[in-house]
Amino acid sequence: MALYGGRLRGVLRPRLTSAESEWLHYLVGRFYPLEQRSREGRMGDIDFEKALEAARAAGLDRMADRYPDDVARAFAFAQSLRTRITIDVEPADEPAHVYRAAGGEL
Amino acid sequence: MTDFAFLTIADAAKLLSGKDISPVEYTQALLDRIAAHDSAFNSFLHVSADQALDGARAAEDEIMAGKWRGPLHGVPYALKDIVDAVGIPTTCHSKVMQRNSLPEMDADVTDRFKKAGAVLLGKTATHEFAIGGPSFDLPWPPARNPWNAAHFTGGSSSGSGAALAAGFVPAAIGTDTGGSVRNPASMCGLVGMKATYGRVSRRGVFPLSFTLDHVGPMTRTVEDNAILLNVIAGHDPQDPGSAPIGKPDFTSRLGQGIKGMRIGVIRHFFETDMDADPEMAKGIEDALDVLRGMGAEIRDITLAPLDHYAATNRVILLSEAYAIHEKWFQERPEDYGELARQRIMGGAFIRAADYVNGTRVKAQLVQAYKEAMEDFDVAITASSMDPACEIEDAEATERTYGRQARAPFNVLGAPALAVPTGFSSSGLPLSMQIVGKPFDEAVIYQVAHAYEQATDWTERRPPIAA
Repeated sequence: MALYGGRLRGVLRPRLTSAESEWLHYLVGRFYPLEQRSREGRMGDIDFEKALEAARAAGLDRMADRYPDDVARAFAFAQSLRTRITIDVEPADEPAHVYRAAGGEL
Repeated sequence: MTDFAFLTIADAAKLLSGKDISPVEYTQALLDRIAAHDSAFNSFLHVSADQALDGARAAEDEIMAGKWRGPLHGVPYALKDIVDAVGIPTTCHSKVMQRNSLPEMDADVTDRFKKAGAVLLGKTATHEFAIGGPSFDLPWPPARNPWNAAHFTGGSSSGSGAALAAGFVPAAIGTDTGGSVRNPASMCGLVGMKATYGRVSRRGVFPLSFTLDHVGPMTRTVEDNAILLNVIAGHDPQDPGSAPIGKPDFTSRLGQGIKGMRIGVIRHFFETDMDADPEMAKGIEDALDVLRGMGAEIRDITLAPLDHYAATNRVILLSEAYAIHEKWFQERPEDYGELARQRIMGGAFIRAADYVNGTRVKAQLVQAYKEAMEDFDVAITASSMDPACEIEDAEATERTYGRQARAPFNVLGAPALAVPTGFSSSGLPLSMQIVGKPFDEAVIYQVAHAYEQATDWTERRPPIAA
């Protein structure tokens, strides 16, 4: 029972934090190849073909051909980030710029 | 006889300036120690012994002639191998950079070390491109923790952490985009500073994320860390993110005590947003008791939830990292290790609007932090949620990677220092973070130094033969 430091908290707790969900998602992906899950119809929220299509559209054909699992995992992670980031900004709210106008203000 | 391995910079400076020890003798002793022990820790990718001894001889000539440059003159140090130094390859711990990676110019930070008369011993291991690790599918093995070589050092400045803890150098440079100076500092029982964004130039450092990258000093004591920041901080017109402001003497507040200082505790980061390992949490509570006993006023402070910062950090980081690596990802993906491929590639699938909104959220978080910190001098929270896990346990390393409260301070650009708070029952280092207002590093050092003086954590040594 090495999972979660031997304390089983991660699997027994009814509601996981998003970071914990991310970790469990990673574990499933890492130790249970995505292509196999796809064949078995157990892809869950990861759309394997959509991920490869997106990779090829981005010019990552070689990556999609050689490392389809990595592509699918990265795609799924990017999708999950979209649901995690909290966007509550007004139209006029400016980004934090890398470039500084003057002085030491961040 | 001088124990060169664990000499502090402050003590070395006294001995070197007083001509009680020789820079050549000091450098040779550390090179010998690296040769004898680094095969267990893999902290160095390149040891530049000849170059180091040349530098040490030059320092010795100057010191003997009465031209002492300051506290780093004749002091050996190491650079994370994403920082350029003329004559030594910058590999980024990657096959991608193995060819044609000999820099023609020093990084700004390397140049400042050179002007201070410090002696570069070599370049240290990192996670591939400061993101993909710990990995066993790269041209070099990952660094291991001197407190227990079966355990992870934390990353990505993993070799710098291992080299310091093993007594190979008294000073090392790391970089920090989501916590990569403070993570190995926390895991290896060290002091690691991510100063305010813009405080230390990033010129000549291979980028991971322009918005979030910081260069930071790693040492075994707080005073040494402040001495190192004194040397490497400063405006650099060639780094567009460099702050055009002066720098104080970061050692100036050491020893002043903390009576009456207002210290916030960002407790929700490690109690509700994530729950820290009980020993890690107890280390922080014990530290708060020490600070309270020294006269500090301690109150809880609430910021945005930890995951809000983590998601913002990753959206920005991955978008920018992918932009840097896209061409190589398209043309030579097989030259990357698996972890770097997986982590960086996420940026290919983040929408432009999400990236821009991430930077807008960042601006909001900066403003909210400024307001929350108005009534406080510094704040304390966890660094890592857990002590170092076993390095060959891929599940555990991946899990602990996200269980941290460091990324918020990359998003905020605010200064944050990892400080040792003791040891776990299995003998692995525990830590906390002391964070502050922008450009207020001297106040952080003041609090950290007071705590360090009241404890003996930084005086303990890992079990390595002399």
